[in-house]
Amino acid sequence: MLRTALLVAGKDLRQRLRDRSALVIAFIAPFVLASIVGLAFGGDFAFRATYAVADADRGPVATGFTDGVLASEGLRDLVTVRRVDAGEARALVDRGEVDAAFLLPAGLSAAVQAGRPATLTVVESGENPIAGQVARSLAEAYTAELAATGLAVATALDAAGRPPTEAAAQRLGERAAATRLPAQLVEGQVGGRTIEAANYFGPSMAIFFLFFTVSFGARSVLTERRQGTMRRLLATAAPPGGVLAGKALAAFTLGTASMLVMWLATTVVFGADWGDPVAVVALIVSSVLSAIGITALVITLAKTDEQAEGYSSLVVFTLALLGGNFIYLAQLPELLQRAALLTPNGWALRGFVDLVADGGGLATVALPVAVTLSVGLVTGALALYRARRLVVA
Amino acid sequence: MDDGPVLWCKDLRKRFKERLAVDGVGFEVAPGETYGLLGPNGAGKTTTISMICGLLRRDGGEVTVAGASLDRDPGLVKAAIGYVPQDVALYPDLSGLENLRFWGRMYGLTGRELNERVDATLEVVGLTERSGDKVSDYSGGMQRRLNIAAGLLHRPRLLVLDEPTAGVDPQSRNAILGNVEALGGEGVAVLYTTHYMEEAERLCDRVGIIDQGRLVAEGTRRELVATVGERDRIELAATGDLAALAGVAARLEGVDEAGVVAGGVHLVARDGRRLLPRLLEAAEHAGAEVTSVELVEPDLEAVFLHLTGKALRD
Repeated sequence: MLRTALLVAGKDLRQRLRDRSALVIAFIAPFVLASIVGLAFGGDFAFRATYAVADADRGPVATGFTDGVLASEGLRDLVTVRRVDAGEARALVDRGEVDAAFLLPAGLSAAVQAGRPATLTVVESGENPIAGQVARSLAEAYTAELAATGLAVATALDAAGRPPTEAAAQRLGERAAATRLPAQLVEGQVGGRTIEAANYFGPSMAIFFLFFTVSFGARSVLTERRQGTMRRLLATAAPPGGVLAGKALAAFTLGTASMLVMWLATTVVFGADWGDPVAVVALIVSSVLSAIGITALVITLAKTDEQAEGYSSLVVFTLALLGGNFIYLAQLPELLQRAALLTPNGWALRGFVDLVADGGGLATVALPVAVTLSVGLVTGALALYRARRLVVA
Repeated sequence: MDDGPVLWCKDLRKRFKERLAVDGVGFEVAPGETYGLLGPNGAGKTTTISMICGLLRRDGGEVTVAGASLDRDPGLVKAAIGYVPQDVALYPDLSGLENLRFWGRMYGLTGRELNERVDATLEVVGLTERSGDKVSDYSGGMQRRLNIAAGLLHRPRLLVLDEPTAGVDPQSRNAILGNVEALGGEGVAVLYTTHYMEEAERLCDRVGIIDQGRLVAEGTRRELVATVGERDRIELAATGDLAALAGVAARLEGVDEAGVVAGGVHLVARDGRRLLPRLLEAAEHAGAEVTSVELVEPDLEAVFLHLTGKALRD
């Protein structure tokens, strides 16, 4: 059995290494595409935004927002603020020179202090939806906090029988500003987590092409049936299980080599750092196994080479789109971010991103490794069951 | 078991849904003997050898190869068989040498023995010079020869060839038949399926005629031809008094039937070759002038026709 598996794997690898298109898919295309996509998305994926602020109020509530929120430690390095008047702010938004504008009307502080309704306007450019969403979240969080502290203002008013002093109002504004940033910002994948393009699209493209790279293993079963060599293999004393194991071994070897080469290439050429090597290897192995399992299962549903190619392409592209292989996941709506976790490549990618952004080792990627490995084992077992009809008369 | 048949099979049966593909086929092949399974396409030849080679599950029957039972020792049986499939079953993107090395290893050959066998086999099939070329660059005939070589590498006790000359040019066909003829002399038992009567007559020591999944007759060529009476057909194209010619011919010893047909006389006779001089002399006496003679001796085609009522290529 082992001898058969090794012989078949050796033969399959020899065939693949002779096939230029296979080499391109395994080793060149992931690197080239990662480079192109990385360049298109800029050098890194740290959140950056430029906001215009039109502060016609100049009071403590407005200052609390501009100095306490926009210039806070969490956002200081990520947000560039241009102080302009309201007209210019709208013009900058219209021209797309800023991502959003905050319009703080005259009398804002006084209205808050008096417990009257007040409006903080956010104008989004639409060119950078993430930055616009963050601007809206910042404003909503601040006004929500003002509403809460407004009760304190009202209470102070009731107790003392007169409006709070300017100093008291300023303290309330500072309290509002000092509260936690919106959970969406702090806990989301964007805020504070810097992912270099090479660190994201390196693994991302490697995983995407991995599916194509390893799909040859299952497809070659159909090819060997078509060209009659499967019958000939089975006419020797080769056990069918050994033949299938050899094909899986060849796919695993080539898939792992493809990922390792991508890791090495992005490290050497772009200075990427995928994280702890042991954890990276664990993720690579589990990702390769899941890719082999899924493609094998899909291909065993096909009856011809052409069908197999069609089915596997459809599944691979769907998984890639859902899993975030083509676009940074954090830039997608929450629903799609959750949908990514329905795919093994989404989990693998999450593992690689966690490793880069959060550091750590095997513990950091334990869940992604467990999920991708489970997917690989389950789909692989189903594929093996279905493949029996292909190798047993 | 060395003195016994290399292949012994009995009562092989296989059904595909409603169709009974093989129905009680059984025969044996001795060492050095070439046994032909002759029948039209769809007769059950490939199904029969697929069961013998362990490639197809049997519904019934027994197979023993080189003393090993296919049921009890399938590994031994497969190791004793060299299987050459009907279509070229090789890796087109590998060279001839790489293909043979791979198939040799699959049959358990290693190291020096593997190298020697590969070299010798390439020599036998005349592909030594082209062994480094990709199989996809070979001509159809060369691919066929390499296809046979892959089945010979491990020196099998039984070589099973499934229509190895289908779609091959005459030159390559001749080379393949020459290779197979040589194998019999080396003591290899050969099971050869074909629907070409000429190949069966040239190569096979014994022939089994198979039709609709049943072995309808079996024996040497002589034995099979005897079943149709060993009578020759003679067609004389002639002018003059054809009725007188038919009458004279009918009275000759060895002639069983004689009758006038359009443009000549038709005869059925025993040992037609020896009869011809006397026939021509009789024609002269009868006042007829013979313009051409066609002698049709009985062959396996005629046997098949006699047994099944249809031609081999129907």
